[in-house]
Amino acid sequence: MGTSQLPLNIRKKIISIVLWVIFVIHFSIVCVFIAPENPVSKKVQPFLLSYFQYCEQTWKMFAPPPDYNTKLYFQYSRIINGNREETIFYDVIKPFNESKVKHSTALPRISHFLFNCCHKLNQILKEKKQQLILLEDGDEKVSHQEEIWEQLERTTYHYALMHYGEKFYHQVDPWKSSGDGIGRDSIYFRYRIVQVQFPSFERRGLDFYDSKNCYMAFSDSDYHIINTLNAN
Amino acid sequence: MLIKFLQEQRTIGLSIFRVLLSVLIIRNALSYLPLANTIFGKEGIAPFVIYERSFHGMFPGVLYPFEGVWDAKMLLLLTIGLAFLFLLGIGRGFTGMLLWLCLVIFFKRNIFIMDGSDNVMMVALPFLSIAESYNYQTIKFNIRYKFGFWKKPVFQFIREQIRTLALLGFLLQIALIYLSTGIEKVLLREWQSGTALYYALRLEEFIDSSWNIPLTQSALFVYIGTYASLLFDLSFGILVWFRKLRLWMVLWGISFHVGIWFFMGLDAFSFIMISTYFVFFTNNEYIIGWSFIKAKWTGKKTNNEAKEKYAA
Repeated sequence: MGTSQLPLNIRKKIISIVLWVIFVIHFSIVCVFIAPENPVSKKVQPFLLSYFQYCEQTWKMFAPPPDYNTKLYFQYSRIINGNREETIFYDVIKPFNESKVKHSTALPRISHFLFNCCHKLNQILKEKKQQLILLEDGDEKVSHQEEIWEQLERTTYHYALMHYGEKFYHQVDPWKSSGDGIGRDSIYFRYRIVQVQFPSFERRGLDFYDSKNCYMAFSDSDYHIINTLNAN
Repeated sequence: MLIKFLQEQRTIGLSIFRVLLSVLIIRNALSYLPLANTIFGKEGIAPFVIYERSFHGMFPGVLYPFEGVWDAKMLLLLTIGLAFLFLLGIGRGFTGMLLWLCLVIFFKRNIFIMDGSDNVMMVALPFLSIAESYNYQTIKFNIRYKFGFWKKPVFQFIREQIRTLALLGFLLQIALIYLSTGIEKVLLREWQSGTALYYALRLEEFIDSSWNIPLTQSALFVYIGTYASLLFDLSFGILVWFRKLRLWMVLWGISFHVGIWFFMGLDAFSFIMISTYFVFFTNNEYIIGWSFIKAKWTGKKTNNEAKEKYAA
């Protein structure tokens, strides 16, 4: 007896069960994905990532709220007659935050783009640093550190920042008037991500905008990446 | 409770949400237009190779090129057009899924620009397209069900089942968003100590009012605000299913999101989350609510006629 010959109410029951099973499976997968880190989600992470690649299911909004402001600086340099000539560090995110027209345009999206990249890079770096702390000083630590940088440079976030650095270079064009014929392929680019930590909640009575109360987490050695900018 | 829930109609709420979601998509797409090439173009801020890599495997043949000066703008205009059709209910689920595909293409092109509101749109749109959200605010064209097989009882049953599950899935998804955020928060030191709001409201990226700094100087405001938002995240997903508590939870949610909107400038996120609340109410509740408002307005007693009409 084929399925089509089954009585209507039985067919309805079968269909209903199948649909409910699909429904339950989907939401079980959602629950595993959005639950706090657990052994199951770790084990099936590749599957979960591919399952949700067209429906982002990341809902960790302000959990935790970052206790620092992220700043991003770009600097360009070039070598002329063996001397290095550097630009100032351009504050890249600040103009977006100060923009008064932010709700009516897509400008905050660009700021969000940069913020996302910095935040993710910081996150990766923090995790990797935890591994470094466990190692004693020595060759192993140095090679491990180099490995971390290589890993960071392979991330899409680093790549996106490098790409934006190129765009930003065209925007500011620091040496346009010099006319010295230096090719753009000889320009070096460096970005620096800075976390300006808030005063803790207990110190909130102090002026927030006084830089003395901010903890500047400059980290030349950590975030200092120099790459040749391929601007052609 | 579940059986009772499945029997209740929510087509009014779904229709309202469909309209509001379409409005938000149109507003976003219009705001992208002047910066279309910067954000989405091949030479835009996001490396094109990331987009190429992200689409390989799933839709290898439909990689939108973004090469020409007009490519990004054309897709944005198409999105605006589709959103307008969806707003009017023209093309129903088919338009909805095409619209979703456009959003997928945009966010695959530049995934770094996505925020919470985009995430909500992406998960809500497939459910909304399938669910019965076309009963109101719709221009009707009599082109439905031309196919004979679609009229068969078994297919009608499948359609009804899928629509019901899509509605349930939508509401469950919204509840899970809050619940998972609440669980993530409760595990963290800043939220346990009641000071998280202080940090969140002082982020330069999100400072949107001159009140943020003075208000977060007050310990009372910070503690109450932090614990209230934590409690809301943890309870909304559970309590909103209870009829008696629904209105209160929704009012709490509206004040929560209006606060986020005012202090942090997250307008799109607040708008979309508040819009989803419309779906939690049944048609019957809307009819009763409307007759109550009408009676209050005209000074007459509550009109039971509407209730009876609906019941019939």
